[in-house]
Amino acid sequence: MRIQRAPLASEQPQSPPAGYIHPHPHEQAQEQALSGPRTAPAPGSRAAAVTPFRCEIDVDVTRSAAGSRRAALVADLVVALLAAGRREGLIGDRNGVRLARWSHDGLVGEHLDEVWLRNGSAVAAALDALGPGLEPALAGTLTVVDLGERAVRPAGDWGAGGWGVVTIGPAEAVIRPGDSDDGMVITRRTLVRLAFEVADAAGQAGAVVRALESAASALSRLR
Amino acid sequence: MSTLEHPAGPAAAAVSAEDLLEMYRRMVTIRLFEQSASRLYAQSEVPGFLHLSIGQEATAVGACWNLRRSDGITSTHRGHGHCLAKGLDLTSMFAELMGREGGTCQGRGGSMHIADPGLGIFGANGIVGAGLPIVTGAATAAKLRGDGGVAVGFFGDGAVAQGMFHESVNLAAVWDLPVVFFCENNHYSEFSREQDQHRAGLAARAAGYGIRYEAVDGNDVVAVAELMGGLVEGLRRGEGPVLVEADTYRWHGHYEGDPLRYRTSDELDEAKLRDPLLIARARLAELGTPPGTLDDVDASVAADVEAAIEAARRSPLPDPATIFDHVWVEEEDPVEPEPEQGERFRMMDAVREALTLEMERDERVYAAGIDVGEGGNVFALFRGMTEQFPGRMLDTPISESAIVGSAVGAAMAGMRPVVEIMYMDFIGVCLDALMNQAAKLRFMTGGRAALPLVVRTQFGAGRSSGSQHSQSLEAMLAHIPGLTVVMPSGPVEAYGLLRAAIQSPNPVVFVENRLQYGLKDARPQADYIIPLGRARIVRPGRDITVVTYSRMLQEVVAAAEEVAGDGIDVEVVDLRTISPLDRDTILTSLKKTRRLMVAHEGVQDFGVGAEIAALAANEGFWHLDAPVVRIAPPAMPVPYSPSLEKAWLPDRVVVADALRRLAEVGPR
Ligand SMILES: Cc1ncc(C[n+]2csc(CCOP(=O)(O)OP(=O)(O)O)c2C)c(N)n1
Ligand SMILES: [Mg+2]
Repeated sequence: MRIQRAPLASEQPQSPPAGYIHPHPHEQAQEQALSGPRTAPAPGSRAAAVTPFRCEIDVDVTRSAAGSRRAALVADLVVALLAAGRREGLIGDRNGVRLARWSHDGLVGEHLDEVWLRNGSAVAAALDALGPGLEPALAGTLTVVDLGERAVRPAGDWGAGGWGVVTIGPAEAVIRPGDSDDGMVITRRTLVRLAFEVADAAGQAGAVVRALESAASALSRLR
Repeated sequence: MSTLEHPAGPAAAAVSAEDLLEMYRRMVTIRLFEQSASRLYAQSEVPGFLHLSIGQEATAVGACWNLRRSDGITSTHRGHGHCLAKGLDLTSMFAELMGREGGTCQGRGGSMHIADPGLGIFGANGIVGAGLPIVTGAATAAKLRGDGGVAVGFFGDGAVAQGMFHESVNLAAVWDLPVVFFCENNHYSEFSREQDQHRAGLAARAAGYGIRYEAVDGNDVVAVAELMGGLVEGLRRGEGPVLVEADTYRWHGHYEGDPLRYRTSDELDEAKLRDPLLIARARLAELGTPPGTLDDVDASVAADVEAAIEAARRSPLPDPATIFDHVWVEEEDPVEPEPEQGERFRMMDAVREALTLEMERDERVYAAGIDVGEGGNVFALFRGMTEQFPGRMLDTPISESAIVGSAVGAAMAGMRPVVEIMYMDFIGVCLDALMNQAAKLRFMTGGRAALPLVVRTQFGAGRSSGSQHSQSLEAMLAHIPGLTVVMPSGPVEAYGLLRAAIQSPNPVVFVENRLQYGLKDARPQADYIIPLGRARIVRPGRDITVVTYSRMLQEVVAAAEEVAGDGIDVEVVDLRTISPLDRDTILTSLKKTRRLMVAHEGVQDFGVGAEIAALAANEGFWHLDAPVVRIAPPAMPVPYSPSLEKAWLPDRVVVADALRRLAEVGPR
């Protein structure tokens, strides 16, 4: 007989299982009660004491990008970044995810349920199915913007509101020196710039950096 | 002092100077141990309660003088002397008092719970009178083994008023057990005088029980040793129990720190004139031992005591990481085989056959209880077994404390008792033996005490048995850490689980439902066994998990079949073991179905269902799509009248109804 002990005080409350999204997060309910419509201040418009933090990394997506559609590439990046963010404790159940794309009319996008539970192809399908218009952000919303093949480099948060914004830039081909058994070789790599901005730097900046590094290394391991 | 009168014990060799010198050395050891303990307590080096026996050293040493290592004793809250006299070492006892890892019980027991079954010390005890059922069990073990072993149960004059005293002495009398009930009459029970505690003396009481009585000067170690020498010899030859009353006096307060408002200093001064050490010195002088020899003994003991304190201080406090050690014996489970489908047999056959097989396999197993022997059990479960196992199916008087308490003692003494409480409702009159002894002794002794015992009992509402013969009290028992609580749901489970219970190294309460005694199922193979602490998925399902056990399983399965017709797919979990709870099986099922119901016969409030609902809210919160539902009788005594009892006890209709409603709640 083995004793299965109840969790100690120090082990409570229990953490949710990976991929769990509460149907009605407390904060969302409160947010709605206080401010009526489901809108949240844009990250940049917070009180002065709150400063945003932005960080970028070039992700080597050579393998992932080879022969695949833009949506599949973006989906791989989303899955890797969300997993890394959860591991870092940066992204939790309070964060709903809104997938968005830049179109000629501005941002279009919508919230996606249980993104944690979806694999790359499911996320890609969701991207393909985005309708017109932009669902408003909630307090905990993380917006993922697919910039498409545009060469611009957005320097802020798009005024998208919510808790944070990830911008996935265009895929760029670069020439890089590398090592092989024969000595130095010149290789052609595909890089995507991944930018992550959170509305409040306090206590989150480190985790943002680590999450980006971790997502980048997960994808480059695909090589 | 040399002219002190002492009643000569029956036919015993006179004590030699050499023996008396050793007795003196042991008494000085106790004296100095306790004086030091008093000092250490005042300095807060001993953190817990301390009851000292200074002034009573002769009873401990004299009573244990003739005992073998394997003979059992039980002690009291004032037990240091008994333990030292039976052979425990100073260092481990000091370390125990200090709560250190090197303590006799690894610091888990403290002064009131020192024990070492290996030395025949079946425990000091914090519950007045509780050692007496236990010593009765130690004597039962000796008698069953027939090895000439004896047992001595120490108790105070105050404990005579305890019901456990009565039950134990009576049981020992009826069973002719080789036991001395040894009263250290120090004339006080806490702050109360002896004369305010009872009207009849022990001599009259012994006569009332039909056993022998002896009085002795408890301050004269020679008198005590001589008396006990004769008695122990008689017990080894097969004579029955004896009540000994030793007249003595405690010098310190009831506990260290006692303001002693209830007695005068004159009374103490007078008592000190009869110091057991002075009396022994006088006797030794008579035998020609020079005073210098005695002084040397004093000095050498003092040096031993100081060295022991230093050694104890070097022992660390227990590592908090070991906090759960010794609560239960944990070990790998046997693999649960698939039951074969033999001829049909009844639940009552299952109970008898499991006990029979275990008694055949292991001669340490015996059964005891009211009408368990010749009577063959009130439900005729054991009819014919007395002939099959002569001397091992024991009838008891109506003494539930002694029944369970003696099982505790016998288990510690190496037996594997299977005792019966006729109705679960009667647990109330023997709860101490379960709650404070069986459940805790292994822990409190730092794992030294083994408690492989089974308390079988039965319950069942639905037949107008009334409020005192119907209750399902498992929640109360499951709340006691250390107890394993098992409730089989049918014949196959009863067979496999009872075998596992008897083989278990832990104390198990095994609860049958008497309404199921006639229930039939296919008999499994003889070596079929079910691991304890493991639930079983009786019926896999997708939509709702129902956790249940015992007879309620039948109701739940019937309800599940019914609602299957409505497209509701119910998963039924039979707990089998209530405590320790198989949390994993429940949570795994909940993760799948996302809806949870608990159904049992115990009343709802503070019941097993509450624990499982808490488990769901606490660890399964993320998987719940609907509130947890508890199906159980309302919190009130079980009614007698059939119309009321039917309204009280939920059945398959109630379960099915609730299942349908639960299926409608939350996302689908
Ligand atoms: C069942 C129970 N009731 C009450 C107590 C509190 N208590 C501890 S010792 C004691 C007095 C016992 O007197 P006695 O049996 O004469 O032993 P002594 O203390 O004199 O050695 C009492 C009432 C207890 N520990 N257990
Ligand atoms: Mg007393």
